[in-house]
Order: sequence, then C-alpha cells, then structure tokens
Amino acid sequence: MILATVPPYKMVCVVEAGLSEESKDISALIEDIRRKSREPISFSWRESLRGEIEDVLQTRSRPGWDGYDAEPISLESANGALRIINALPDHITPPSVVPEPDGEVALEWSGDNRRDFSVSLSGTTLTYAGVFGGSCKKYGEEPFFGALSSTILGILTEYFVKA
Amino acid sequence: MRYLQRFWEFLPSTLLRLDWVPSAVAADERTSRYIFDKEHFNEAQGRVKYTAFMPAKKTTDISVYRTKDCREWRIWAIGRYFVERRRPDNVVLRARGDLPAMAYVQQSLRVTADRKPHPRHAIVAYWPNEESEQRVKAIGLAHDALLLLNPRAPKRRPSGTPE
Repeated sequence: MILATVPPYKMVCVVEAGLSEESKDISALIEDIRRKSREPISFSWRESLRGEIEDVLQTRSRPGWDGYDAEPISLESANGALRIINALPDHITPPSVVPEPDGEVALEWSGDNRRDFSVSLSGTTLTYAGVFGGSCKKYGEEPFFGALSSTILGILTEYFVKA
Repeated sequence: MRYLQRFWEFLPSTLLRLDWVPSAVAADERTSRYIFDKEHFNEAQGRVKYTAFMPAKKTTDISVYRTKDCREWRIWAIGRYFVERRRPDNVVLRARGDLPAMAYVQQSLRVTADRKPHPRHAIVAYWPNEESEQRVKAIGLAHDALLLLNPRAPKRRPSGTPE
C-alpha cells in the first residue's frame, strides 16, 4: 500500500495487490468497502438480493459449478427470482439467494425451529417447498403472473414475518 | 519434477483405496456429502442448505461417501483425492454434511454402495421426478445434517468478490 501526496494536495491511497493470500484478502475487503460506500442510504434488502442474484449468475455460469454435475445458472431463472423479489411483501424477513444444481435460482427462508421454505420461478411456473417444524410439509407448483398466491403469502406471513 | 508431483498424487490415493466396507449399507452408518459451493451451507448458522442435497438433472441422484469408522483426516483426504482433484476445474472442497444413512431412508430414498472411484462411495437414488418433492426431501435431509468445515479450505472472501 502506498500513501502519496499529489496536487491539489490530497492524500491518495493506492492499493497494489500483493501475491500473498492475506494481501488478496485485504484488497478484496477494501474493494468491498468501496462498493458499499457507493451504495445509496436508501439501499433496501431488495437491492441487496438483486446484487446477489447477479453474482450467482456470473460466478456459476459453467457446468459443474457445485463440484458435481450442476447445470449453469440460467438467465431465465435469475430473472424469475427477480420477479419474485418484486412481488414480496415488505413485512416478511428477507430471503437468501441459493443456486440449485438444476440451474435455477431459488429464494430461501430459514427460520427457528427447523422451518425452511424456498421458491423459484421458471417461465410462469412457481415451484415451492417447505418444511415447518417436524412433519408439516408444504410443496407444489402454481402459475405466477407477477403476484404471489394466497398460499405462498400465507406461508410467508405465518412463519417468516419481521420481528 | 512433474513425475515426482504425479507420484505424490498417486501414492496417497492408492493407499486410501486400500479400504474395505461391506456391500450392504447399514441404517446407522454415517454418510458424508462433500460440499464445494459456498452458498450451499451457512457457516454463521452452522447449517447445511438444502441445495447441497439436491440431485442434478443429469444424474438424478447424489453422491455420498460411507465414512463409518473413518478418522477425520481420512474423510477429508477421500474428498480431496477422489472428488476435488478429479475435477478438471479448480473447485475447492469447503465443507461436508454428515448424516446417517437412515436419514435418507426416512425420506424414501435409497443408499446403494457404488465402490467407484473409492470403496466407500455410494449413490443416493430413487428421487421423485417433481422438483418440489425433491426439494422437500432435500430440506428434510438438510435439517438432519451436521455441518463440518474443511480445515484446509481457504477463508471465505467478503461477498461480491471473486473466488
């Protein structure tokens, strides 16, 4: 790292990426801080999820990205996940973005007491599955045209409401 | 130099292959699912995500290793020499999800000894065709799985940075 004084007399921090693992970690951390500092204050969890989907799409574009036989993440599925995000109500806990080996991008909620739920969209078919506690399971497929059904909204409202 | 390197690759994998397990998989046997994708487990929450257990479209089954009576170093070495280093890409073995064979049986799946490329290799088959049903079974497996991190895996970088 080099600190230099340049006209018009501002301190400039120049980061030269070193070869060691620690140096790479520091460079990555600085880049992460820079990226975050450019984000607007009104940055919502939806924006954060959009960024995660973009990252998943870029970093899992080759077959076998999971170390086995996964298919590349499809643009269609990434767009599907974005459409679901737009339809989510504000009062629920933010999901996490998970890439699936079949090339789909799913949104996953994981709560206390072994409650897990996930949804993904391929074309106009929304696939959902959840296990809530011990033996309560809900899963299936349904058409999606921009709004979540009462079934999905009911599950989210019952198990994954913001505290 | 290259021959020497190849020899040091060949030697441990040959020694590791000198192993014996019965052909029938017992219900109480521990199985290990090797995990390569950082989004397939949550280190902070100490849990395996369901996506680590989802079958690929291409194979319609998942690969596990029978690790009963194996010491930790041996389980990681099997993952390193028989999964990670057999990949043409540079995937990194990050973690594994351990659960008894019974957990698969409880999800109406079947664990069968495969013995290739290692005597301890097994296949989990009989997955349903419907994606939502596959997902609900994978969630059930993830609930029962114990997450173990590979002590030799590189540290995770901040989100949004390349691996």
